[in-house]
Amino acid sequence: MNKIEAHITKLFRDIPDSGRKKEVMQEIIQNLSEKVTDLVTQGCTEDEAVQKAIEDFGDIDDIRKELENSAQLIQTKNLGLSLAFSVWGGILITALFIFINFYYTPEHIWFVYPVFAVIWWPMSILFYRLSKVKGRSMAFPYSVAGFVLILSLILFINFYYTPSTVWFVYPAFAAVWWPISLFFFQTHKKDRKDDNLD
Amino acid sequence: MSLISSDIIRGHLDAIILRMIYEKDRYGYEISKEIASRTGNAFQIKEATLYAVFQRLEKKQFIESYLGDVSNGGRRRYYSITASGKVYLKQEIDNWHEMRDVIDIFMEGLE
Repeated sequence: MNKIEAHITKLFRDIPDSGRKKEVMQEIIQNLSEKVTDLVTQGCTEDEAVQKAIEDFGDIDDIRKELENSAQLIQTKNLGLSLAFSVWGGILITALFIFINFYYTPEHIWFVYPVFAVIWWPMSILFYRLSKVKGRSMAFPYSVAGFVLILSLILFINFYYTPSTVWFVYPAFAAVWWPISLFFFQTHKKDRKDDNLD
Repeated sequence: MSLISSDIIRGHLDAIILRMIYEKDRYGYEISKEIASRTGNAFQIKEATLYAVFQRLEKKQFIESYLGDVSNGGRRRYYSITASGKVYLKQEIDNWHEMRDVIDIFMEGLE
């Protein structure tokens, strides 16, 4: 490995590996080698030319930002595909359970339990993708959506099996601590961040 | 000619590089040499900045790249402008003319 290659490899070592990174590194090494050849032709010694090429190269932060943005775009695109897959998968599984439920045991509605479990699949991917797209935590909105889902199941069980006794408030009371805790945790975290900035 | 501060020119780098590629397909080192040559060395783009601009323009699909001839043990990567790159360049040139007219109002006419 020559000095130019060694320098560029060192500069790029903290950037996550990707095909794009490799291409950019090869391109820069080729271009800088050409610059060294030109400088030698103009009268520099080999060492002086390499030193000048390295000094003139500049700060790698802009390239790092662009490469990281590209990696993030690819990740968001992949998450979009995962989301579409989970939505369609969820719909198919739900349809299957509804069919089995009403074809074999129409007198007893039980499909809501597997559907309740299946819904977490696309919902989790959706909020994870949103957190990547928006660049901030979606834990609180996720907890609210999760609470609504849990509450729906509890309401169903309560009024389907024991409509004369309202007991759903007790498990709902326990579940509501999830979004409440996250809300205050995130508010506290934001306040601490603001204090640090001040 | 004195060296131009990179801060002043930074906002127009995308358009400058697009203009160079608009003229003909070029590779990175060729562009940096051409910029230095045309400005009489008043503006020398850092290679790191140049390759960041390439990444940005390619991501926006304003330019495309392909591997060309071999030099110094490696193949040069050439860049060509796309149709949307040409449209963007035209907009940037129009914006520049408008901005230059406004700034001229305040900067011209004093000794």
